[in-house]
Amino acid sequence: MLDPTTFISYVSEYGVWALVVGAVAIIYYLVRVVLDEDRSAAWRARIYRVLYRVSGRSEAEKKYIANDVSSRINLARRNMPFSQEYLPHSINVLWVESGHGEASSINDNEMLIRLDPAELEEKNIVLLSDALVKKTSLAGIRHIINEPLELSMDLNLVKNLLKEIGDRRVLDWFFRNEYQPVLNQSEARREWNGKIVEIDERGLFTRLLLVELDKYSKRIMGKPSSPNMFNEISRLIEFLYKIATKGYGQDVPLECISRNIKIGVILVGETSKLLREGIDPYLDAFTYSLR
Amino acid sequence: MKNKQQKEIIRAIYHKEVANFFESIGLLETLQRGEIHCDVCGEQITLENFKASAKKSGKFLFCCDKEFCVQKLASKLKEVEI
Repeated sequence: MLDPTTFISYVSEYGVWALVVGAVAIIYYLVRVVLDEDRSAAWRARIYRVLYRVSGRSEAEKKYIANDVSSRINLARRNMPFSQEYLPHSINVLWVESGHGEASSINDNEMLIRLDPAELEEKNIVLLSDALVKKTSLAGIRHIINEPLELSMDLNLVKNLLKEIGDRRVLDWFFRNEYQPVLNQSEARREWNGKIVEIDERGLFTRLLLVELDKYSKRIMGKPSSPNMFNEISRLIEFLYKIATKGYGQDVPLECISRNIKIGVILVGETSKLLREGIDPYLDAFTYSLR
Repeated sequence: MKNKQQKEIIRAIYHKEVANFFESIGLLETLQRGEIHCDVCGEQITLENFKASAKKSGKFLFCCDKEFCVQKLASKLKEVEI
């Protein structure tokens, strides 16, 4: 974004043409905002926040909270890898209308969440990110995996989503009030979380683990769950964890083969081998693995 | 318009309308008598500490504002879906 002093210097140098280019740039930006549902929600949130601060009206506060939370979560989600396929869906916050007969409009298994005042917006963002992750991610495998693993994956998905939002107050609230207290409650949660964090830090959580789990859920769809299914998933996580924590020169398994999961990994990274022998050894290994 | 994909709707209760919500589901008097408890930890639910509600087999579940209770309530819903 051009700062005002630079723009004024352009105007003094190029005269009317600088103004024309500036006007075109502003129009282009406005058109982009209008055509983008999430960006326009972010602008609506700013307008309603001002209205709420000035008037203190509840209607302005409700519109501010709904637009702010949904735009921040949705814009963050779009920046995450594979966000269209495997990550939590976009969110739309609807206020419960408190009229008579409201009870009949609430569906079975639907969760209603009380949101806090606008001044505690970071708490609202964490709460709704959490609800969204639980509702829309890991579909088809939640009934197979155990509670500590499920919580660890949820916490890391929420953490990634909040990191993309880029507001340190929100992350602070999440780590202090949710992430740490949830992990402190059990050793099993800490153990699974440690593995997921390592996998995530090597970029293999959303790019590989979630992709494979999504394929896995499609493969086992319609089959009754069994202890063997959880074993398959935990073996996959162990496999990725070993690769994520592999030291230089350390040998780790490069294949994970089970009834429903078949993954092979080729490590490409030894510069000396690449310089000496080219990419042929890697291509040979790839062909061999495919066979 | 961009991003017109299907969105996940999450229903929220405005903090100033908690009493109206309980009235609309016919449980305001029960709440005021102190007869509604958190379905996770058992703490008495009040207008101040109410955090979330869910419907399970036609019956309302409630939870207080402890983070653990909100997490557990979500898990209880998952158990129903199995």
